[in-house]
Amino acid sequence: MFYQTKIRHLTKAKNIGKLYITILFILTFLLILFNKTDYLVVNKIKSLSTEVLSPVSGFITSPIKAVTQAVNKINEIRFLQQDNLKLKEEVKRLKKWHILAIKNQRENNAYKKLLNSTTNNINIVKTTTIISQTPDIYAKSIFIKAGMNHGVFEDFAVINERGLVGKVVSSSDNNSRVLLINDQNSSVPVTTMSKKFNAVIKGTADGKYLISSFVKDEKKPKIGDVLLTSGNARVFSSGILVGKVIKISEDGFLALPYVDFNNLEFVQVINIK
Amino acid sequence: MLLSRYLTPFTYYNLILIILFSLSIRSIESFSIISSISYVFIHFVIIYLGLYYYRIALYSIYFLYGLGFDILLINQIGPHLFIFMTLLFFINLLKKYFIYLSYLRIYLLILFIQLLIILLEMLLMNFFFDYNFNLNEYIKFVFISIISSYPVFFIFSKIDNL
Repeated sequence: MFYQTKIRHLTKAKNIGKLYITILFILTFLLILFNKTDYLVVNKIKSLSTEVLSPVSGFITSPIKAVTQAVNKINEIRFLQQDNLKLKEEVKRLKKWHILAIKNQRENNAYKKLLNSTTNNINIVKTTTIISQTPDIYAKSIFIKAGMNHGVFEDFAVINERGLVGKVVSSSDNNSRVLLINDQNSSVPVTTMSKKFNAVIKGTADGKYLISSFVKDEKKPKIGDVLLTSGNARVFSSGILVGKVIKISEDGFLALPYVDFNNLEFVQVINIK
Repeated sequence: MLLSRYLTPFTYYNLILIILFSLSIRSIESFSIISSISYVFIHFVIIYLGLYYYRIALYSIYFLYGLGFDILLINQIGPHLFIFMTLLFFINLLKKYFIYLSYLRIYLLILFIQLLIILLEMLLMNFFFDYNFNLNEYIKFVFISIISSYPVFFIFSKIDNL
């Protein structure tokens, strides 16, 4: 009697287990399917996961971060004297540029007044810090401490003092995910200063450079040309610095981004006015 | 005394999983290799758990880690989730054949599965989400896997005896 009851319980548990596994597999396939169709539930899961997992992983990795920071500090102290000499030379050089910049700014202001121009079509939504950066294994993205509660929504552009950083791809209440322009799936319409050339660029597989994915009329830029956002897709405002052309090939060109993606600290989320 | 009841090798492996997962999804300034190493190690733990600590709860654990990896690493759902779930399913099916293998063969088998699932993840990423297959990155994973495999299994065997 006792053994029969036990066997019955075991069979029941086994059946429940099988049912549970089946449900999990169905859920897996549904999630994969809905992800492809951009279903609302999937977006909710994505934003919720980001909101929950980011602080937890931040807490767990904090001791390792502290150790790496300490190692970096020790290295900085080791090379303090050499850095000091370099900085002194840099200050001398920058002083010359500073005088020149003030002169140019005055000239620019005077010309703008003459032309009555309203060139700035950027609206700064939020200046924020970076919570974390994904490793360079697959997608190149960052998480910022600003979300829908701060007026940050999908497709808003993100910049820093050097130029274009990326685009907001998902936004939760307090965090957002930004796809960097050096990601393989990013797509930035660019032009040069002369505006004679238009192209679309994306990141290379290693994320170090930007490569052209489309060049209009097969016109080629010159090595050293500065690339700016063209504003064509209406996602990025026009005139934001993107990179500098360093190599031209038959298929297109290669550019070096102005933004140092390994040392991002503060960014600004902007949208077009 | 009370804690020792709960601190089983399975609990230790789960703690290791949480730490490795956190390290894999965050880039650590100047030490980006830590993320790659953690990414490789977490795959070792996942295979090892499937082989030696199989239970139904593992499906939920693999589901959550697969989903977490997919969302946080590529902002899409698919490659990791699919691979982790099918891996556990196949391990469960073929486990009865594995138990007769020698220590060396098991070691080589885990290493082979490890390299295979990372390759499949990268291929699925390329196929579904247009992330080009980065051969350099894969070679890096192969290199880390081969170098670290023996010490990792040594640590695993120590945890098993706890």
